[in-house]
Amino acid sequence: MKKLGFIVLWVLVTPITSSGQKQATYLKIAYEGGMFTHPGLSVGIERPLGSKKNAEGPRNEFRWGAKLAFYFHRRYQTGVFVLPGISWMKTTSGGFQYGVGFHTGYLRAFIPNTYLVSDDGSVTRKRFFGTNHFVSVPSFSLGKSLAKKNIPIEYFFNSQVMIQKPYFEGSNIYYVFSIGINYNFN
Amino acid sequence: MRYSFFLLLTLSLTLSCCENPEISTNADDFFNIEENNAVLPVWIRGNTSSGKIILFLQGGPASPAIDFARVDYPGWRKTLEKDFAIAYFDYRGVGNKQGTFDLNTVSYGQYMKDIHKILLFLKAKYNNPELFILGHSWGGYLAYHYLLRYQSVTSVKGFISADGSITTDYEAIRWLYRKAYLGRITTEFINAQKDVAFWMDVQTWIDATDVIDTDEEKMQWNIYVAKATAEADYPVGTSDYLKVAFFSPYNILSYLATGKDEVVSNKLFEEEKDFHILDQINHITLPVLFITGQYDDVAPPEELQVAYERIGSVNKHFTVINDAGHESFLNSPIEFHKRVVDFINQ
Repeated sequence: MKKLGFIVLWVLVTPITSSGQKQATYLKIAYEGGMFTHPGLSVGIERPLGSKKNAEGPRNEFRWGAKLAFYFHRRYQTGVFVLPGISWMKTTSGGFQYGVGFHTGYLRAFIPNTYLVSDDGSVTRKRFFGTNHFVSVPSFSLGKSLAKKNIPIEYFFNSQVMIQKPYFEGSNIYYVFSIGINYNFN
Repeated sequence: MRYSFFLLLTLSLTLSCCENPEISTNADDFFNIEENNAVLPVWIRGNTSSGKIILFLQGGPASPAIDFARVDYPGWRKTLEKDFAIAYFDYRGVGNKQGTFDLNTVSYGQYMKDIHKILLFLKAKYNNPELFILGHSWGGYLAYHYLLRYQSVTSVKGFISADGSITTDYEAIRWLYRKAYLGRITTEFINAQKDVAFWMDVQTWIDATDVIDTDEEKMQWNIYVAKATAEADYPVGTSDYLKVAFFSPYNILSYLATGKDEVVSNKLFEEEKDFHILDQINHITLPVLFITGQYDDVAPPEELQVAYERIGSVNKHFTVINDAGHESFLNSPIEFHKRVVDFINQ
């Protein structure tokens, strides 16, 4: 658990501390909906890769960062995941944005209301029972930058397919839709 | 923000852990049971205050039951669930497929153990209710196996075989019953003066075919019976898909996109090569109700009649529902409901 805590801290803090330059650094906050309707939340940090300029005007850029998130699918599972990764984003002169990303990380799937039944019929609840998965998450996003109006915010819709391993006979797929904002605090 | 995140996460984990068994006329409980590394989802709905719970064994093999319950495919929410509670569950390797199990644990032996554990759970959590098994199609076939192995230790009070066949494709005897079935319906249609020319052709084919044995003969049989089979397709609508995809305990992509149900059913079919359950059902002595449809070509009355005669139960009942096919609960829901209620309440 301590190791996990360290990894989470590392992936979240590294993008902030990796450069002393005045570079765009985004705080990402989003609603994460497992299959749209099963709610969750994500918090992350993201910053451009290579570029030292602030985020204004049309551009192509790679960003790297990480997020900590969860979704709550009440009777299926509550997934808590840490996803470092990279994305590519195109911003048009009007501020319209689209891009793709690939993140990979760790998922802990908490399976609710799990019980163990012994051969003699006694029943024991297994609290916080769950399974561990390595996840790969390709994603596609659309958004809008408000930088031209001197508002340091981007809002976005992001469509993600979470591929979970290990899983019965291969990998599991779970869809996560997110909608949120990037706040540039530099 | 950081605190909000962890607060919401804690709230989510807490909310997902706090379902308790509900004794009411309209229970809606969902549990997961961990058995040999698989997590089996169990959904208990209906009248738990009746003190009677029916464990539903889905057909297939490898058909899920949670989506079946979610869209209320059999319509039991307004019928059987008013009288009793029904526990729906997904077999291991089917539906959400949670846990760390692998294909090696998919077997008849493990399926029976899974069923037994679910029954023990229901007994422990719902104040020792009377338990019944309702097995549809292959679920009925699995129930015969379960009862043969666990009859001496199970607390099941009775078994309803709903359109549940007693033979497998590997057994030649299955095709004797199927030939008899085709012969009977052919006579019925000719006597009723329906499509006489077609059914006369069928009669000629029956007379010329001593035993249905080859793949061609089996295919021909299927073509003929399809003409008679009373299909009662449930009208699956857009709202059903939406319910299952977005408002159910399902991860629908796990079911649709991973395509492993065939792996599971093939593994189970492979095991069936050595089974001859009809020769053993004289050892089953629990009360049993056989239900089948007049035009059920999967579990035809000719086959279930033999099962009825051979089963060891003293308290046994055999019902053929007129004009019904393999889903008699859809073809004749009122009669199906009445038969089941009468059997359980007797």
